[in-house]
Amino acid sequence: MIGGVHHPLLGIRTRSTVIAIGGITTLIGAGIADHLLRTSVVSDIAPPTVVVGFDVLSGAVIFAMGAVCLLGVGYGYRNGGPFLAAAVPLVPHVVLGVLLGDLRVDVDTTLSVAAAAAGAAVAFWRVERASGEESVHSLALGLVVALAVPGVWWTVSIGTTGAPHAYPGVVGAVLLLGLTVVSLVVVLGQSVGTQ
Amino acid sequence: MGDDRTTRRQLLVGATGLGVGLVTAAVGDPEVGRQPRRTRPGESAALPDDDRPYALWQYRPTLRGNYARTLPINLVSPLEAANLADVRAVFRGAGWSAWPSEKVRYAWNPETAQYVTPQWTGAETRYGVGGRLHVRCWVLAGHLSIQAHVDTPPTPGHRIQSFEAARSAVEQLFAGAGWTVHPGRLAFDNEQAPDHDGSVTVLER
Repeated sequence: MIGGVHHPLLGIRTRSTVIAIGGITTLIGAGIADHLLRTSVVSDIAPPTVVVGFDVLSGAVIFAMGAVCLLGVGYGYRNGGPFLAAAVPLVPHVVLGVLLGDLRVDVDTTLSVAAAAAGAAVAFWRVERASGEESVHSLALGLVVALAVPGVWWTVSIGTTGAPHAYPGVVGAVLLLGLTVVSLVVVLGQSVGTQ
Repeated sequence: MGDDRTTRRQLLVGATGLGVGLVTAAVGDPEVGRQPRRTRPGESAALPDDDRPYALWQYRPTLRGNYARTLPINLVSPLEAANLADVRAVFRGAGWSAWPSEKVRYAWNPETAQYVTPQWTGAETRYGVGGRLHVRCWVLAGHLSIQAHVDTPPTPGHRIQSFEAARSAVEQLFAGAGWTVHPGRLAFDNEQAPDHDGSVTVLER
């Protein structure tokens, strides 16, 4: 079962791969619990201690949804695995968006796509150093481009038409896309150099 | 072997950082302004709200079973020719999320002498990873009270970036939907940092 996740597109070390998959699953579960509790349990007559406990869960989910944008890059740098590095910020956002009927192109979606592109690009660099398999190379490159193109498009769109308060999100997306480009240039430069 | 130990140490440092961040985000109360006003346990926080058809403040519950002020109400509407569904439609028409991920907050309802949760809440994005406009709406005695603010990105929790920018954005949304935004504001004397001047905007349809 665990051996099934041992693939360079998911990660170099199986243990880190399993931890990342567990983290994604936990965050999705916490996001669903956060929504269900808010819409069913929390009411005017709920005891304050219950409400404070709920606030703890809500605050943790909000923080984690932001943290995964950086953790995906960290995972890619440590463990390679472009597909899983992209999944860390993207899958919780998309799955929760679909399940809660709330998936739209907004600042959060743009940030998670930009973070997925950056994570995949950094992981691509890591995997290239570790294995350099041709099949992995093509798939990883395709994934990075497929994520970076909408990431750039939506960032430009929100940056030029969005409200002034969207500025921090746009800056974050620009930095993540910048990291994507730098990583790609380094990887492709190395590939040309070794041919 | 040495590499394993280094990896383990780095994982431990990472996990510790994540844990500290989660606890700080969860335990902290980032929605309180930079100069929070809190009522002491046992003190009635609701008195100033009693003589108006609107709420003045948003409250949070405390572990002692009391309620403490957090953010000021900054837009209201008498809802004479509209209802909550019309209000909701304005935000939903702008693509906002209904019931975003947020902390539970209350307003004082003088009719029932009870702290009550909002009838509707909305935000530009569900989690506000890049910051967001965020509102909570209460209908008390047939009158609408809105608390609107701009959240910062969660670092580790949301903080208040601006009340004024949020009020202005909500005014524009309602004006665009055909509502009247009265130029004269009502004095609620609920000033709060960073930029709420204690007055509220009146919306009417």
